[in-house]
Amino acid sequence: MKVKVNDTELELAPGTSAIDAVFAAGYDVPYFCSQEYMSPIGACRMCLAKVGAPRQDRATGEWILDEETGEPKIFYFPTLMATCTTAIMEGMVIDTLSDEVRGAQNGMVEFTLINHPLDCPVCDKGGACELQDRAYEYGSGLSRFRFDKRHQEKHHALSELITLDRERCIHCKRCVRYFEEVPGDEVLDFIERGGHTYIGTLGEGLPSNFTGNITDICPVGALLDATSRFRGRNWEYDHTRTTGLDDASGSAIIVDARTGRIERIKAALNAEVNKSWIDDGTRFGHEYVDAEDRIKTPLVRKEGELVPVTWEEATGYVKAKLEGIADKELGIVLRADATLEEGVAAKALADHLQTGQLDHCPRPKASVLPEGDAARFTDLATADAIFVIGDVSEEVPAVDLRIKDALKGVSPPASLPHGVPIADLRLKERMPRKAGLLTVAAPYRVDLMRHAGRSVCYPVGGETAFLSALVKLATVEDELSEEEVAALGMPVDEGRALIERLAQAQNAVIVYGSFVLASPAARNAVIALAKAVKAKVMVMGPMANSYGLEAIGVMPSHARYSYQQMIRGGAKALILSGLDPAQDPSVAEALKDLELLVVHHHFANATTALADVVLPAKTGYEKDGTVVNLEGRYLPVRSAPVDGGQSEDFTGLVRYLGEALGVRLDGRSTRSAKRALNHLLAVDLRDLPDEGLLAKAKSRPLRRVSVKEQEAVSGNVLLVPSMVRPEFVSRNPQLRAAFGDVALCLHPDDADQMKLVGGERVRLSVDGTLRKATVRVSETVPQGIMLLPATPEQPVGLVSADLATLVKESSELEVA
Amino acid sequence: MSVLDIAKGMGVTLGHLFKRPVTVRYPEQPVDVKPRFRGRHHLLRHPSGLEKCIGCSLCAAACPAYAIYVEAAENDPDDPVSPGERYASIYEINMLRCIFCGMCEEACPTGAIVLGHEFELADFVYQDFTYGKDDMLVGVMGSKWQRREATQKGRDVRVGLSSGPRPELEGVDY
Amino acid sequence: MSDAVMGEPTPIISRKDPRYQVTMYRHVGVDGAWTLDYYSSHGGYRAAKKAIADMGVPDVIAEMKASGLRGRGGAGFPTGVKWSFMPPVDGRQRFIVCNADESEPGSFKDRYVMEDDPHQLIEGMLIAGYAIQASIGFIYIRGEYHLAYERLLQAIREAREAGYLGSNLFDTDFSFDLVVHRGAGAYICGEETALMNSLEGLRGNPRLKPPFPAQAGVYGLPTTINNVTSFASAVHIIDKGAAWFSAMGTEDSKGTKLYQISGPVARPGVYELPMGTTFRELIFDWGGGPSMEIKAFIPGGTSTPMLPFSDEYLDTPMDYGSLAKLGTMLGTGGVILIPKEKCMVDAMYNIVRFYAHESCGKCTPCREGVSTWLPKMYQKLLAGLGEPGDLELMEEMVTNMRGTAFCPLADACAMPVQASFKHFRPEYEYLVEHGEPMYPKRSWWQE
Repeated sequence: MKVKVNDTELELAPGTSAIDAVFAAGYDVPYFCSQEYMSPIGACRMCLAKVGAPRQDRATGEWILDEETGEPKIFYFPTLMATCTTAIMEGMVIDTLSDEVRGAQNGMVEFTLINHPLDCPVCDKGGACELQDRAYEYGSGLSRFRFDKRHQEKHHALSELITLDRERCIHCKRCVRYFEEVPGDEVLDFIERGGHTYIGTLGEGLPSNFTGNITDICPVGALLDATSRFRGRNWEYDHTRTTGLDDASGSAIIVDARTGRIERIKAALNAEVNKSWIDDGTRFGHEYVDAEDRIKTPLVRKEGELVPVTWEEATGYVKAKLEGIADKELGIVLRADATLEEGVAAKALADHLQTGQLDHCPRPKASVLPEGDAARFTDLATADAIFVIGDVSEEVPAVDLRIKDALKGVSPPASLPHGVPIADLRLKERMPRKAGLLTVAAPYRVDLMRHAGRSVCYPVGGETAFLSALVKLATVEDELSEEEVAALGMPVDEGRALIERLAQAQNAVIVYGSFVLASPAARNAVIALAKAVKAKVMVMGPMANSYGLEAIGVMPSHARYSYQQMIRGGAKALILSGLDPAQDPSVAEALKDLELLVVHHHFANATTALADVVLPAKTGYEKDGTVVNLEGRYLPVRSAPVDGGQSEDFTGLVRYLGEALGVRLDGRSTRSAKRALNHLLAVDLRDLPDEGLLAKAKSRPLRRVSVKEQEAVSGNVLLVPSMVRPEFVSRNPQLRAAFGDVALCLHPDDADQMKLVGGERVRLSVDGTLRKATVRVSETVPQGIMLLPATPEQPVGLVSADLATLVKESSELEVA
Repeated sequence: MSVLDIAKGMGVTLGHLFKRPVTVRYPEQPVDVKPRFRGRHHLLRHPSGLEKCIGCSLCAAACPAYAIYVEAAENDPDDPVSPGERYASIYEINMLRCIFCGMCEEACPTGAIVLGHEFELADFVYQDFTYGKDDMLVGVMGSKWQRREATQKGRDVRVGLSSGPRPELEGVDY
Repeated sequence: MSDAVMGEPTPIISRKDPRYQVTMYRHVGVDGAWTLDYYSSHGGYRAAKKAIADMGVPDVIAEMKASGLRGRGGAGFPTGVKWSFMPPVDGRQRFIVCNADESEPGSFKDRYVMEDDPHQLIEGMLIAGYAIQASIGFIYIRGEYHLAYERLLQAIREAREAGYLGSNLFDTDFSFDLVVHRGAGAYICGEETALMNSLEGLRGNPRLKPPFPAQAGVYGLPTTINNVTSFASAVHIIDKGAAWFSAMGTEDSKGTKLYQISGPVARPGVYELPMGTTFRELIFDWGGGPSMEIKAFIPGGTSTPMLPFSDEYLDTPMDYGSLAKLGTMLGTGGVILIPKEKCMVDAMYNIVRFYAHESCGKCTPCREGVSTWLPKMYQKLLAGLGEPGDLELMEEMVTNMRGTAFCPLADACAMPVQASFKHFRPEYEYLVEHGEPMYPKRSWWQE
């Protein structure tokens, strides 16, 4: 459609909003209430413009012509129109520059400001505030409002993580709409009316995994991140755009640091991945970086004590020790959120030392690389049938939000010259959701089931049987046996309906995560199911770079060289990066027998207590490198200016160690690692764009390990994925205050039987490791099983806990 | 040049012989600086005793020499340091960097920082040139060195100034 | 108000007057008219039976279109056209909604219909429900109308028992039932989209149009919303035929309308008169003439701009077109007379205060302008603290409010204020200059 904005003519797709036409033409109108990816509502009335369009004669269909010029006559709307809620029409004329329009915009700025406290100097939004900018650009500069302003609560804690200043609120309704439209958790609304309107909640807190985003979208300083309250002004922060390493989604984040400290994390826009939303675990989970007990210098054990030394001395010590160790007796293990560059470095080191004992952890028993058609986030958002096995809201929350996009049935908007459309007119407030397209299966009730048309709780640990039964339904006409019906967890008709829905869908996606990956048989079954119903698959690996590390082959050369074997006496010497296996006392015993234990970690822990050499590690916010998210997209990781002392990532470790060994290894720097990766993957990773690169993924991993089938089994504790990383929660006091401690969830009946009540702190030996947790009683948990967040050392799966070891701690820490 | 011209010149010299001298016997005698002289900064208080500074860091943003560092914190409502929610927990000016341009004073939304008349800031150690809140809050007189000397010698701080403070410097007394 | 000043408190006069044939109002004021016995003995449910049993859906809509009935709620949109906007029947639930949230100051016509003649409304909704093929009707009644609510409930119960509501009505396969929903006291819920939100249990905020209610109304389903008297008119249009209806009134405004008159007038009340009756006729012939000296009158509820009480305006016919020409609106037809002795600024403050209280707070000009700034300016003027420049500021503010807000509420406040400035600016200027009003506050109704 042809549209004319002031003097610029341009061609736009029908359905575009007038405000987007204005921006696409390179002009500007102020707006507060519109927000990309959310419904336009026309509440702030800032984007007023004079809008007109030619008319067709009803009878003839001819354009009505202006008698003087002979051109189609423009009929202007009688009043100024809010461009955000006006769709463009053929030949529409939009005027944003006339005195009338400017006057009205000026008037709206004045109205908006009369009750705004103008306490910009003490406001954390100051300097990055839409209202400040717009008032400066469009306001008259002086207020004529000579009365007392509205006084309301200045510091209302909406939750532990978010504060609300009701005086600053300009009632744009972005936050209210956000909760209803994006995560679908209606927790905020306007209360009172007219000039007394304010934002509030019905109950306590904000029960959602995605609350932090409202601080990003608030156009003023009304909703603020409480963790960074008064920590710095916006112009003082160093903004680093990078990729979040908290989960496998590869969500884009902006790390704001000041004086060597991460003060806050904001969501960045990556239209094809996380849009502009991130979960609270990613946003607020950074506090550990600055923890008191961070290791900042290399340490070497001298006479039983760890003593600070230089990197050269530490690596020299390692080199001397390595000389006495035969090939194949050294093990190298990375944490699965290590970058590809670190993976290359580890591989180069392993190759140089001629050992096959190389692994990353946590590495599920089954491959995280999708087989068959891999689904992208955009496939998920446009899917017409989705089958989820697992708890996506905790495992990879970005997937949860993209599934909710699909429920709205609105495909991702096409990009315009100015980026994502500001007002997508297809989105409406309180849109009906197509819950019928979503089926969620998990061993216990998960949050996404609230939004699903069909939810299934299959027996705990029964993934293989559950999926095999579905495969049988999809492929064989036979009736199911009694056991298979039991494994299905739902009536057979329901199962058939699910299969039919998936098979008939144009764009079906099956999403599965750690529960399925814990068993190769279950994984094979889900792949078979996907083939049978012609669905694409999305695999949620356990960590940020599980996909990448497996793809480049940071894997043992033989099953007997896996991490689990290494730490149990398989290796004589170990280099562990980011891992703490010694939490398990039996492993700690085995580690004591090692000739050399090098631990590359951020914090002192049980394993560093046994180590000969401790090397300071960079956190995910300090690294430079590349990760591969669950779509197979290469995403850049960039270092924020954080004071990590002498910490280095694994490429740094390999550089120092290589120097000590007198070799120049691949991966001694990110540059050399990228060169090596270019050889390996035929992908140039230098200067990756912000939105990442979807290179053609190699379908087969470079190294594949055959895993012995050892089906688990039975147990009484199900280790589950968690949005909040349990290994760091004790060092994230604010996140802990908001989400509580590591939670041991159990059914009320079990709790009664074990004489436990919610909020009690307990210690329990789980699969050999002593875990501390706070009891949470919930009916969503099946009877006879306890849920506990998985850690890198204790990956998702069913394990046994020795209930005899259950000890109640003195409850100094009362969990709210 | 005629003799007459020389005589004229000598006449000027002669005339000044009998006028009051311009030079001051500083440091024996205090000096009188002009009212708009910009010397060491003062952090002012409200009449209620609360600090005027709200830790907004605008002075640091305005400072062309990057001499100011501010860290803010939240007031305890029961025992506030400044009015409102925010106060400066750390307020530092590096006097070696400072060029005494007065931009911080212009940027301050509450009139908390005002450049006073003290100019005797010489000291011996680098770190002693970083003035914190304790060194600048109203009521504190003299440079760090002057105060150190006064404590050592057990006498009052002596500032080499005879002019009174500007009206903006509420509560400052030289 | 005392009887001495205001005359006999007999609000419904037109019914007793032999000059006009009354329709909608024929039973109002009769004791016991709200019972089904009375209603059915006076031809009740005859029209509904005719429509449902004998006429096809297109015939009913055609009849309505031919009658030229325009929405009686205030906006004046042709009712038949509105009914024809419903999408084709596709199996989805469809709703007919009666907007009985009569909250405009100066309007009280719906109240009498619902209190004294609830069956007429039920019958009208039956016809409309049939015309748009809706099987459920909602009556959103103003919360303060307690008696009307009770009578409606009673009437619905009676109608249900008598088989006028329920399934397979009049031996056809058409089913229809009614739900009465009480508002909680918000003027904005008289706006149709806010009404739908409120009906759904949401906050009473207006919604974005499009989609219009016919596409996505209550619960996102096709919905038609009409005023009480539009439904009541439909009964008589079907009963007596479109020709009978369109014979009354003027060219662009057909039929009769319930006009209300209040203020210092001999016989305040509701009068059913043909469209196009002049203000003079209403005020002098029917209302018995003013009881005090009048300086202005509000033509159709407080949201319509006032007009000076002069011959020039009094002979204006009360129809949609003629009033639009004068820059005002017919609105609900609630005429309010403002006496000369009443300070116009104070009177306007009273109106502004109402809108300030009723603003929903969704959009900026209404929340900050109507609800916050404008009443404060009036308070300032009335406190005698007006300064030069204040009036210009108020005028500019009102201009900024008009046409910029999300829904018509801000306009409803801005337009009367603008009109008061246009016609009575000297009173404002006097107040600013002297610090006290031209006509001091008097308790004149007590004298």
